[in-house]
Amino acid sequence: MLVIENLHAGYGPIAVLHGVSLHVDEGEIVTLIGANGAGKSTTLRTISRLIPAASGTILYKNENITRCKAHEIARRGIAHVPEGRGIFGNLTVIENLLLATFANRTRSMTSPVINELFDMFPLLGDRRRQLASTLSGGEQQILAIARAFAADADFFIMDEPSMGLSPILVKNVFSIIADINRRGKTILLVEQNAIMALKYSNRAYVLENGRIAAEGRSEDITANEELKKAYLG
Amino acid sequence: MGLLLVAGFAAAFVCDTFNLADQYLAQIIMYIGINVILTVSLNLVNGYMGEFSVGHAAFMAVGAYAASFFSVSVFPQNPAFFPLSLFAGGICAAFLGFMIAVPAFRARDDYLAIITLALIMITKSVLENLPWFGGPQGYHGIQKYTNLSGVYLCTIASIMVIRNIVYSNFGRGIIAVRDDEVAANLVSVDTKQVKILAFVISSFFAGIAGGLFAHLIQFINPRTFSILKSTDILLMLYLGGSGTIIGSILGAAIWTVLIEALRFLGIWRFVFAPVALVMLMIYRPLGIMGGREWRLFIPKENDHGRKK
Repeated sequence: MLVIENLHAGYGPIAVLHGVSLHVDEGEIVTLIGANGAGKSTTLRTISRLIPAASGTILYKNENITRCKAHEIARRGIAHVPEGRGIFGNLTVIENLLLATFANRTRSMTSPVINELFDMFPLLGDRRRQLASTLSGGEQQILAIARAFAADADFFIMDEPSMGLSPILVKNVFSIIADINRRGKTILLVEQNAIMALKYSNRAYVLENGRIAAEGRSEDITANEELKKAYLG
Repeated sequence: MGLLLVAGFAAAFVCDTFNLADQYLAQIIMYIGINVILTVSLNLVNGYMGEFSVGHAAFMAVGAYAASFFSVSVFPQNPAFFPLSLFAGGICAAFLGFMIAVPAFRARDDYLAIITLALIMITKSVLENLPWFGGPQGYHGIQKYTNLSGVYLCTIASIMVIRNIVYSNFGRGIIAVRDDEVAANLVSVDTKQVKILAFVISSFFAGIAGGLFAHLIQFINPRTFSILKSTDILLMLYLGGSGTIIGSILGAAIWTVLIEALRFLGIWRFVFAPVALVMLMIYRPLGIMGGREWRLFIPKENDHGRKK
């Protein structure tokens, strides 16, 4: 579904990615793990074009999206849930969800669609008319995921969904991710909490200094003593 | 509510036709209306979108000069053509807004303030040096076409348009740009397009206000539209509280009345007013309304929250 070949990218003169190649197949959950500064978030940001690729190609559903603008990529059905959630605090919960279809004229947010969302995320239903800035951290994370889901995206990019959440909420967020995956969505995940992420994902890539150092099925990565020592603590 | 609006228009219309209202009082009311248009439209950019533009005086100037040009030189001298002249002034201001917005939003936030500041100065110099607009002596021969009902209609229309924008899909895009531009991009909002369009709409209404203003005082010169004019509009916006419609209306009305009421202080009112503003910023930093919107402005099906 998503194929990245020999991707180079960075911030201005500072190169971060030195030829990353990876692929995500339809229906998979794929995790990127690696040390701080290895280029995990940079990879995600390059896919959704928050930063431009210096060279290399990104194919999504066999189309080259390397040169698309960020909002165009979102309109193609790639939903990026950014690090720090990126919810809109001055809008209500329901308005945050409505924004998901900002450019999507084919899918309108009728009340049945919204009610279905609130069935899926009951926590948000109780808070639908509240400003998003008044939600707790966990609720904001769930709102960010719900918004991506509301956009009817096929491909989810999630950057540190468990960041700053209590252990019980981390579990909650991961079960939501698994639930979304069961509904046919493909997910590319970056997680600090690698053990948890590997438990839920099918495959994983290990990033090291902007290159793919290892890849494999999540069980194999978890079982690999060397990788375990280096990345999983 | 609709009935009340119609009654308001009827009252304004009757006052106009039979010359009922006291001249001075009518003048103040019209100033209030014009200032409400200016403040509400600036609110779209500075309040809802969270950018900082100081260029409203320039758009007002372009609207004023263009509308005057159309009513004096293009159309026959007849009040029936006044709406057309006004509209033409608005379009000219909107066009200038577009010319400014395209390069300005390529740069990041604070640059908009600098670019619009430059715009005010450039507009003033250009108007001073264009001979066919009277240069520094000002534009003469403008008829008094602005009346209570005209101002009333324009004010209500601009409030309604801005209010409907703010609660529309496009308006949510504007607020998303303020809250988190990157995240707005990620939910498919074309932030550049949203910013430019909002800025153009805001400029259009500033142009309309300028046209009304010119045909009220019947004499405009470039000095009228200096940085001080922009400062006034900014003051009214932050006095009422940016980011709410009712705040803009209250801010504009209170400031206009206050400045008039303090006329007996002479030059000292320009000392009093800033001091009052400093006090306001200390004791009520979010403005009079403190970010709260009047219930009537919030659409029922889409309550903007505040169920604290």
